[in-house]
Amino acid sequence: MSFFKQKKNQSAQEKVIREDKMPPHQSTASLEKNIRYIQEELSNSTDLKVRLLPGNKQALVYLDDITDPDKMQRYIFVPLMEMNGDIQRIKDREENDDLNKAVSSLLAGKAVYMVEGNATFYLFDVQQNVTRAIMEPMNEKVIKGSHDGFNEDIKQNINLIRRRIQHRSLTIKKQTVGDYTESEIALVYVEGIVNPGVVKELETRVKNISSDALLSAGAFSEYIEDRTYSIFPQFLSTERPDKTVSQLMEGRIAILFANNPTCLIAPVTFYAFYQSPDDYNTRWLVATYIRLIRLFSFILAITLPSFYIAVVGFHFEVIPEALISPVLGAIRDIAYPPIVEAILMVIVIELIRESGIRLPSPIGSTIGIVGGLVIGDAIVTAGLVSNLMVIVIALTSLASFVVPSNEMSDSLRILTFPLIILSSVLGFIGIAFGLLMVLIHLCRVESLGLSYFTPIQFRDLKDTVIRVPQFLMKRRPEQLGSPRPYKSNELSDENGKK
Amino acid sequence: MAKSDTQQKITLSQLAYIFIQSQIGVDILNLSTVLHREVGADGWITLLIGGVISIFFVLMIVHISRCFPGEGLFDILKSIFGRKLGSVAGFGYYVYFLVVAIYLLTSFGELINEWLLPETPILVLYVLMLICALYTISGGVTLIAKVFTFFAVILFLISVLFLFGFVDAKFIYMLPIGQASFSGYIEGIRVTLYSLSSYVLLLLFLPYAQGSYKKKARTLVGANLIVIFFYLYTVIVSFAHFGSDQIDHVSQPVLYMLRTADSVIITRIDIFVLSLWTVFAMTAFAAYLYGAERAFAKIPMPKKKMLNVYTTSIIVLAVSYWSGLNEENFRVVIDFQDKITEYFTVLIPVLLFLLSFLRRKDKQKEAAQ
Repeated sequence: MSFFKQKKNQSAQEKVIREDKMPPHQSTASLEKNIRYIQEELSNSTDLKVRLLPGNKQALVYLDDITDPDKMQRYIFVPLMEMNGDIQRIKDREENDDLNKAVSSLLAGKAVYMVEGNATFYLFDVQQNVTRAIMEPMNEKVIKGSHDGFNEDIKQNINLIRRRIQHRSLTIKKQTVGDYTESEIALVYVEGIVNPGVVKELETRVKNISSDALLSAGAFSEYIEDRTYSIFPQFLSTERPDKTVSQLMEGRIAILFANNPTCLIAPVTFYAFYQSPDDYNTRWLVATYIRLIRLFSFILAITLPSFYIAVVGFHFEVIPEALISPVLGAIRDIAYPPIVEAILMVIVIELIRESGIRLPSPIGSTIGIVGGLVIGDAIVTAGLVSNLMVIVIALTSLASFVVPSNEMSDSLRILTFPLIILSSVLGFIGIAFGLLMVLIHLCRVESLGLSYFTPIQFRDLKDTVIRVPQFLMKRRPEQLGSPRPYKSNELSDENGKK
Repeated sequence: MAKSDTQQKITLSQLAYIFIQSQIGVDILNLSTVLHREVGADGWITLLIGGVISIFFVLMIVHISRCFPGEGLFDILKSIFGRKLGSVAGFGYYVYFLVVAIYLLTSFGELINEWLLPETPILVLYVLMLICALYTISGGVTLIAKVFTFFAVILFLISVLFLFGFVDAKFIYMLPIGQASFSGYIEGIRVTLYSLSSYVLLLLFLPYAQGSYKKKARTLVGANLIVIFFYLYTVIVSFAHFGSDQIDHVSQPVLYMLRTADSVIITRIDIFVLSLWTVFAMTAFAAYLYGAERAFAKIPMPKKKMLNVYTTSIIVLAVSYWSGLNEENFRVVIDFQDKITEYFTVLIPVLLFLLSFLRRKDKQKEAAQ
């Protein structure tokens, strides 16, 4: 770390105090002084409204943009009229005499009611809720199953989870992260199923985050994950409540974010990225078949281009006799070596994908047609890329999109590059070494201190590579070390034998 | 981040996989030829006898480890031979592990050069292999265990691919039995025992394994049986495929056997087997490199852990490069290895076994309690 040594005469940076840790500032009996203090603390923001009530002895202070005038009418003014202007007789209120507390309450959408000659002020919750309707997440659609999804309101998200697990052991721990943003996060887990050591580990890691702002779930996972330099995602992100709940019941922890529909799940294994809620909603044989296809697609996505390059460049003898002349015919007139072809084609596909993402869908599909059909056809006729390479790269990118998780699919697409380079230098041996490195790395990665890529053992097979019927999946995953290893009260082993 | 030594634990099945993977190294490809040159068609019988003997060695190793709970190979050496002699023996093992690692690396390079990449500078292969092995051992015992366990799938895959050898097999080649001379048998058993000799490495891993010694012994014998049967399978396939006349002249019978085999989808299965076998070469190499690294760590001089690893790997790389230069240099390494293998895999373990009855620590501890 000495490489990044700080300069000695670096100007000291003033420390920001979080709103909830502000030292108390005693309010005075003077209404004017109190108001002036609040105005100064909020840097005279224009949206701070001070509403003096008739007689100038009482004032209601609030932030205009985050409060709901309807609620103010209902919770403050109507009761006030009924009580003949005596604020102390309204029951639904909070009292305080710390002005800094008043400021932070203002920021949270409360209204402060102050009375001249009284150091105590009253807080009313009149926050305006801005929520989006519950919709199915765009990038995690299922064919069967529930179609609701998380949105930006953390309360609603917790609501969706609580409705699914109606038991007292569902625990929700809220914390705030970010000295300026004070973003709320919630750790959700089922007490008694989750491994308490893992919860403790996660809590300490969250506590150690020191940052001005918490902007996204991705940034959050970078703060707390085990191996930031790894290419593989170590937290499963989802916007589906049903997926979250099924993971909670396995004994994992869900992390919800305020103002972010993404929910992170940890600790996870590599296989979790290949599971979809659909798997549990279809016949188990079908689900197994689809799982195997997905796993095959993993292998295809990272090795197919390098395999092709190795075959064409080094091991032509691998191709069966009948295929030799078509392959030779395809690659004979191509000017570039296979590695250039491959990288060119991969870049074309990435360009089409990236340009299509942010465009509105009508234009996006046009781009797909232009990119896919026109460029794909023209690039072969122009003799830049052989048609075999187009097939190979198209299959590869299809395979990489089979993964249900978006991040994993991105990781896979990057992984092809080192393998392409290795295979163009060393042939099959290069691929062997590349895969060795990837697999050793996978064995090395941990998610919250638990192993990420458990080698396939017979017991783990049941819900990873294949999916067996529910009655055979009686145990929770071994990796989690759950205090409740069986999924039901009946303690019988998977074969039905005791 | 590698956990500290005391936290590392491996399960029994992981121990078994470590054992399997460190045993199957270069030898699967050429054991058949070597055995046939020594014993003729009886090679597979000596393989069985040697296998049984190796089981006794495994049991001896487990017993030694049981007598010194929580101690690795080098601590045991010191406990038994005393401080000075123990250090000398430890250094001896350092050299032995290094030589085996160098042998594995060089023969891997030679083989790949011969079969797949004649133009590639051999140093590139060495460096890649070394990087993979270093990455594996840098995670400590737990990572080694996980990696070795994962790659056990390859054993299954290769076994299936070897089935192609049975296509042209004639089992009449296995006969007649009992033609070899007695000294031929002894030589065959010696060869077998050497190719199964990674039981010495077990002393490094046994202290980390969980479970009673009875279970450990059972697991390891099971693992050893798997390896013996795999070897037996390989030897029988190649004997039956080639017959006595040919096999003496083929250096890697298994690969030649698959070279001629023809499947519908791909031809030249040998290339795939060779690529898969790279994994075995890597795991065996990593196991011995780990042994050497542990030994070097016990020499009290350098304190920095990474320095140990780098020094060891530079020595391995340099000597491998030298021995890969020409046939004579490689011969020197093989001869040297042959000479010292006997001491470190047969004599010292037996000596340790005998002395362990005298100096055992587990009984002392029980007495103290």
